[in-house]
Amino acid sequence: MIFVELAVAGIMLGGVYALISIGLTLIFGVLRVVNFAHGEMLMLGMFLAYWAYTLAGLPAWLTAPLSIPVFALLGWLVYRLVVRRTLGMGDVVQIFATVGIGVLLQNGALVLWTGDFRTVRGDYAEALLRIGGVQLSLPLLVAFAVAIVVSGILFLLLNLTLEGKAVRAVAQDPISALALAIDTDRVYMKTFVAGVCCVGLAGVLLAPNYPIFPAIGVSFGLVSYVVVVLGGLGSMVGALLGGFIIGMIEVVSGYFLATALKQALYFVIFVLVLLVRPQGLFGQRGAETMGFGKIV
Amino acid sequence: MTSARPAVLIAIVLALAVLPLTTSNGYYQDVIVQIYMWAAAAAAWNLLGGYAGQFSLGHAAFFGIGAYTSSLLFLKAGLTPWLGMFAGGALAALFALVIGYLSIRLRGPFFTLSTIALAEVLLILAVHWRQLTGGAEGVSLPPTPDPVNFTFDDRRVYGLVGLGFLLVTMGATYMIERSRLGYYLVAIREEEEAARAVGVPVLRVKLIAAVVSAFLTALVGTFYAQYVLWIEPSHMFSLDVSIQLALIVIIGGLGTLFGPLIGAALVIPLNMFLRAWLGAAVSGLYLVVYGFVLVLVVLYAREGVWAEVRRRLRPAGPRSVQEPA
Repeated sequence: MIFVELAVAGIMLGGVYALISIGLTLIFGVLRVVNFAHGEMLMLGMFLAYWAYTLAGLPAWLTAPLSIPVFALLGWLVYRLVVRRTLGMGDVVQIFATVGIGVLLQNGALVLWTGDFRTVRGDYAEALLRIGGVQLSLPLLVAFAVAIVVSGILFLLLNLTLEGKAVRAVAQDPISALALAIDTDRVYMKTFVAGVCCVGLAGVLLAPNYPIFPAIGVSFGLVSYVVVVLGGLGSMVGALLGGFIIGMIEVVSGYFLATALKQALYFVIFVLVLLVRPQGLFGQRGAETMGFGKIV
Repeated sequence: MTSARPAVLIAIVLALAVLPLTTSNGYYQDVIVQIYMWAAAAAAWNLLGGYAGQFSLGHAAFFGIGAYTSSLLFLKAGLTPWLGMFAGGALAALFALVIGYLSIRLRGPFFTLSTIALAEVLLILAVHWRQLTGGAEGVSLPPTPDPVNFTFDDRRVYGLVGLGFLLVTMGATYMIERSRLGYYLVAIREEEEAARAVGVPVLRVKLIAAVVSAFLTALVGTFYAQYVLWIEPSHMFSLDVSIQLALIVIIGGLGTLFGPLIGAALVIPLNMFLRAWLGAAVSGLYLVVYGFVLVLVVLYAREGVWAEVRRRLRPAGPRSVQEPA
């Protein structure tokens, strides 16, 4: 029985990690930019859910759709003001521009809301479901379902629509895409906005299950980088599968190891992946050094 | 860019040596000591980040290893930190060698990510391994002044010792800049494939830069421990420390001899002023300013504030050619 519970918990956690990582891999796959502020954007989503609940009594599932325009605006602003100017620039610009945004967001949250741990409570946050003798947290189940639905929608958009085709074209070869009259700047903007919306949504949906404080983005950010590297940089399928693998490993190891050591485990996995299969499970060979790949 | 003559260098060193002696105000002395200390650590970061173009955000790991090694050797074995710091440096260098061997083939942001992860792991281990490190509460060093054991009652002495550390890291930079190794590093930074094609042993050169950088960073870590006399994992291994080192060099000018000193002279007083002025109530605000400044500088003054100011001051002269990204 304990193994069934562990397996279920691992799959759920994996869905959560997948949801966090989708936005990161999408942005990287198309813009070739690693968003170092990814974890901090997740943290903002958690705070949004916290304040929506504390001030207006909204449960996280209701805040989730409302969060999309908020994060679309944030993504648009960050793209227009910063990320757009870093495209095609050297490493120092690409890395430290988003590192700077991350520092700004995390400490802005610290100044505004202090470092106290906060929690979202209420009926929805504390709801438990019983399925075949296994207890599940309802918010986690919702987050899991949203992860599947969101990646399904993105997959369909990318594969069935003309705009999706344009995004894939830009991901494969921006110069040729430009020659085919694709507005690459718009594609980059839309992709970045979509990626930020994904991570914001993830933050809102995970708020009921985790303590909320300004530095929480650091460890989640780290997990999402490990997931994306494991799954293959820029690969959506890889992000999903990588999420499930890391989720399973974390739950199973958490049963045997002290929880504090689980992050050390991520690093071991990180290094092992880089040694054994540096392109990740679904990435193309050389993606980690050259930055090429395909997104679906 | 740096072609300073020996006479100018000697004059600068003398001025820096006299500076801590010119004030009896403890606060200003503290500012000066911290500028020298952070400039020294930033210069060590600059060897790997500025010259070789490998941007580490895990240098807090080496800083922390240096501080913890010398402090624990002193507290548990009575070894003076003057010697303990070399043990810390050696340990950090070994660490850089092993980790570097695994991660230094990664390019750009992926190398940076692996360095962040490394420092996070050390932070967790330092908190977790209580018997050795004292856990989250940290380690205190005895406050009794004792020059043999690297503690002084006068901040001006710390200023001079800190200057010594700065001169060691800047001297190492000066020598590397003018050596074959320095040209290899710059070649790798500018175009790794081309460097490899003309026979630069890329992996070995990057590893040497990482090892020297880690060793020097750890030495400054010991200085930090002896100056503050209290170290705790959540600060020593924090991403904030790593970002501060990178920020200082980026502001001052990447891959330049004086960049770290210029950057520290701008960043550290700003940091201390904001902290003193705003107090503990808004403790994160100086970091908000850091983040903002970091974004502005990489977008608008990529060669550092100093190069940008000089360019603006002589608009008529020939503009330096903007290097393609």
